Parts: sequence; structure tokens; C-alpha cells
Amino acid sequence: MRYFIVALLALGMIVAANAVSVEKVAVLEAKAAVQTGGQDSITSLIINPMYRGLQLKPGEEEEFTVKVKNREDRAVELEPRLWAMPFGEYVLEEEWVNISPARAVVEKGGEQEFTIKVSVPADADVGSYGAQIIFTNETTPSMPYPYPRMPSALTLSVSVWKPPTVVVSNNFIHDRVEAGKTYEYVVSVENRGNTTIPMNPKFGDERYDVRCAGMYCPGELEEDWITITAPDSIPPHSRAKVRIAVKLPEYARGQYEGRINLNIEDPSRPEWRRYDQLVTLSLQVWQKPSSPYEKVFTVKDGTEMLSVEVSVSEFAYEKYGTCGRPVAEPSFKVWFIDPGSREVRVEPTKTVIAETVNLGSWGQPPWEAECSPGMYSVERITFRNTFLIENPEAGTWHLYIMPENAQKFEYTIEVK
Amino acid sequence: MVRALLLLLIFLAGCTTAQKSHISNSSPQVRVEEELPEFYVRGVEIEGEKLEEMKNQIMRALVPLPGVTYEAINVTATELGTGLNLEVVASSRVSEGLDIYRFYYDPGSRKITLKGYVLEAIPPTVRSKAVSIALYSEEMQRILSENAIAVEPRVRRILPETAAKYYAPKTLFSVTWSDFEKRVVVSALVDLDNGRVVQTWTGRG
Repeated sequence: MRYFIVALLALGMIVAANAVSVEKVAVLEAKAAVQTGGQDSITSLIINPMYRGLQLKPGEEEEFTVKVKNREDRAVELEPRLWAMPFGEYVLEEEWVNISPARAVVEKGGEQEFTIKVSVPADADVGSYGAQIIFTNETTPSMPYPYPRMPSALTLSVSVWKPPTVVVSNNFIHDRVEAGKTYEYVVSVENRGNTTIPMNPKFGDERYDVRCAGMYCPGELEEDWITITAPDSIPPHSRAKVRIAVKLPEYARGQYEGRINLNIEDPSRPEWRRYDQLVTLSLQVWQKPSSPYEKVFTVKDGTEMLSVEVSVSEFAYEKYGTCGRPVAEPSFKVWFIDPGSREVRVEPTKTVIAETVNLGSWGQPPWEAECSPGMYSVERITFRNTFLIENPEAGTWHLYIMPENAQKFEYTIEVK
Repeated sequence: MVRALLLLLIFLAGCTTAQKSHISNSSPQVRVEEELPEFYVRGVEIEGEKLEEMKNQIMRALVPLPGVTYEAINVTATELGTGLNLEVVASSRVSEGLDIYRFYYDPGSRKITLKGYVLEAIPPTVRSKAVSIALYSEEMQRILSENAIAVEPRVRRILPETAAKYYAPKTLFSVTWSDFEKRVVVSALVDLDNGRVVQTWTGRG
């Protein structure tokens, strides 16, 4: 689902990006029209903005202004009107848009301001509506598309939306779990509407499933590991609980992901926008190692000191975890086998706790700096132990490290 | 160029939730949603009636975003002068960000006072909306493109008491891009209700 959301955001950004370059594009187009000999029939206008996107609920209205500057050496008559674009979900209805003044004559080098008022009827369907407001009837070819382009136009997009009737409390579950155990997660679903809404949660949903590709992708949760218990409907103004039990087999290893589609018939959400009804399960199976990590190394004659440093780091958000419960601090047991096959256990000679603390004083806008005086923020914490063995026997040594509550660790062996 | 830059910005904004991976305590084998948040206190030892009284005051003082329910509250108490500094970290399942409050406990009056906060427990939909509004602002578009900033923004909630000094006594959202490489920070104070940017700020290191 997250890939889907990223894709949607990226698409949404195209809209914003269009808005960014409005003025520059307008100027460029106007220049092109003036400079191109074959385009003499195109009236040179600067339209600002050239794109406007509105988000309105049924029954709402909003107005904005658009400035049109005449770059011709003569007066031009402008009669803006709505022009349907041959693409998009819905075409903006003419009755929804009022343009004032309906007609204007702009003198050479002059500028005219038009007020555009968009009124969405109370019974409008939720969706994306689009059209262009054209100021002249001139067109240019737009190869390779089979329809002409309107060079003197403002593109208007209206997203008609309703607040969701159904609110899902937790649609991203991340946890560190152990193989062979069963875990239960509860997702709360609230129906804020006045009618009973059907619900039929199912594991997996191909519609929104954007598969990860590559060697670092998580494994997929198996359907038969999952048991979902939920009512088949949610009465008005009430909450329902969807219980998701995950039984991890003994052989589970590494990172797993899976999605559950709650399949809720939310009347305020078109089907394609029901991606927020997907619950993503992201589970990291932590397998307590049955044997320690082993590293074999050689110590030469005359070595005075063998030093081994083992460290483990975690980010602050790992410490607090998804549910805010403090996670057990990572630790590790370290021992050696010397060349004479004797076990050598030494206490750490140095223990270091290192934190990266952000005071947040630099780079804070005044409204953030004012509300967070002296707030320390631990970004990263490192636990590091150093083990020293003086005058180690020459030969082959074995280092063993047994981690506790740690997914990864680092070590260095120094022989001097 | 500008389009590509802003496309990258929103892509990074969308990636925020995907990149963070929280790891929760796995000790209980079966987990069931609780109505009341779990409450942990560590640091200076506080017991009995004083602990209950402090806990009740903290619970009343916390202000989650409407629609956000705190699942767990971690309090770290440290000595500060004659009283206590209480750092309260509240987490919610609807957001990967945390709400952090700092209170001072005065042993004389036995009251806590809010001294500071960093509120990032914001549902992804609200966060995206705040970022979108900031990006739609022509001024922000200009500032971001002039500084060629292409990092993900952070979003923090600003409480009405603070917001009153900059706009109006209502909840606002601070959308901030910090490009540490370029030593430039750009921030927009966003009014979500009216869908507009009410203040902008640019800082250079």
C-alpha cells in the first residue's frame, strides 16, 4: 500500500509542479507565439495562474482570480468560457462555474482580472472534475495527441470529496516477533455515518498490491498463518474491532509483509480510493540464535594486547517501538577460545554508551523553537563494550558473540 | 527542473512513513487493544499517591490531535532544582511520529506545568495534507526552488497558545524542510482549516 500512496503523492505533485512553473511557462508560451512566424494567429497573452486545483465538498463553493495580460500591439477582446478536456475522470459542469466579467476588451499592454467562482452542487458525486477556461478560441496542434491544444487557457481541476464515513484506527502494524508464536493485533474501525456499513475483511488484495522487487524485499506472509475475526457489518455511530491473529511457523525467518483488505463499503469513498482500508502487516521475525557468532583469527608471536570491541546501535524510534513500549536494551555475551582450546571469559574493560542528541536549536522556525525550549531529542544510541587480553598466546583464536535483543551488531578485533 | 525538484520533494514526503520502521516490545505473546494507554515511569523513583496524582495530571494535560488516541505513554522523571523535569513521550498507532511533552513538577504546589513540546504524532493523511498546502503556496514554491531544496519535510503540530503569536489561537502545522548539506531550513506555518500558509521562515546556518 505504501508504494501506492507514494505513487499517488507523486501524481499529486505533478499538479503542484504545474502550478509552480505557471508564470514561467506562460511567459515562454507567449514569447513563442510572438516569435514564431507560423503562429501569427495565436494571440500573445500571459495568463496567471495557468493551473488551479480546488478541493471542495458537495455544497461548497470557492472563488479565485486570474489575471490576463495582453502582449499584443493591439486591443484584444476576451470572452472566457469553459472547455471540456478530452480526458480525466469527470468533466466539470458549465453550471458549476461562473466567470466574471463574461467579456472584456484589454488594451495593448493592459491587464484584465477575471473572477472565477466554482460552486459544487450538494448532490455532486465524489471524484475529480476537470476543464479548461479558455480566453480565445485559438488552437495549436498537440502531436501526438489526437486533439488540439488551447494555448490561451487556464486548467481548472476540482476534487470533490467527502470526509470518510469509516475511520480505520491502525492500518500499519509493525512488530518484532518470534517464530513459532502467535500474536494478535486489533484494528479498530469506526462508522461515523447514519447507516449500517458492511465489512468483509480478507487477506491479500491484488488491486493495491505493488510487489517489491529485488533481493532486499520482505517475504510474504502466508494466508494460512492469518486468522481474521470481525463482524460482518458496523452499526451507525459505533466501533467494530477486527482481530488479526498471526501464527508464525517455526521456520519463519527475517522480514515478512502482508495486506488485509477490510472491504468496507464506505459510501463517501469511491472504490479506487479505498486504499486506506488496507491494513499492512510488517513483521520482523527475531530468532534467538541457537549458537553464537564465531570468528577465527590469528595472533602472532610477541603480541602485547588483543582488543575486541563489540557495539550495537539503535535509533530512538526503535527504542520506543510502534506501541510506545520501551524495547529491551540490546546486549551481547562475548568469550574466546585460545590456541590451547581453553575458554577465556573476560569482563569488559570499557563500557561506552554514546548518544546522538539533537537540541533542535539550529534550523527551527520561531514557532517551533518557542514551543520546544531545551527539548533534547535522542536520535541514536550506541552501546559499546571493549574486552582486553594482555600478552595473548600466539596461534589461532576463536571469538564468540551471542547477541541479545539485537538484530545486528558490529565488532572490531585489534592485535598489537 | 523545478517540476522535477518538487516531484522529488513530494516523493520523499510520501516515503517518510515507509522508511521508518518501529520495533515494539515482543514480550507479551498475545496483544489486545487497550482502552486506556499503557503508562510507564522511569528515572527518579516516584511511588504511591504521588505517582497516581502525577499520572492523573499528565493524562489531563496531554492534547493529542483529534482522532489520535495515545496507546502508550513513557514518562522519564529527572531532578530539576527542587522539582522534577518530566519528559513525556506519547505514541499512537495511527502515526509513526511521537508527541513529546516536557512538564515541570513543582513539589510545593504539587502541580505540573507544560514547559515545551514537540508534537509529531500526526496521521499520514493529515501530514500529507499539510505538506500539500505548503507546496501549493506560491511563496513556498519560490523559496524551495530558489534554494534547490530536495529533502523530505517534517511536520509538527503547533498548539493554539504558541500559534496565537504568529497567526491565531488555533492548532497549526509547521512544515519544515531542513537541508543540512546546504545549511538552509525553510518552514511554512499551515492553517489546515483554511488550506493556506500563514507564515513562512527561512533560516541559514
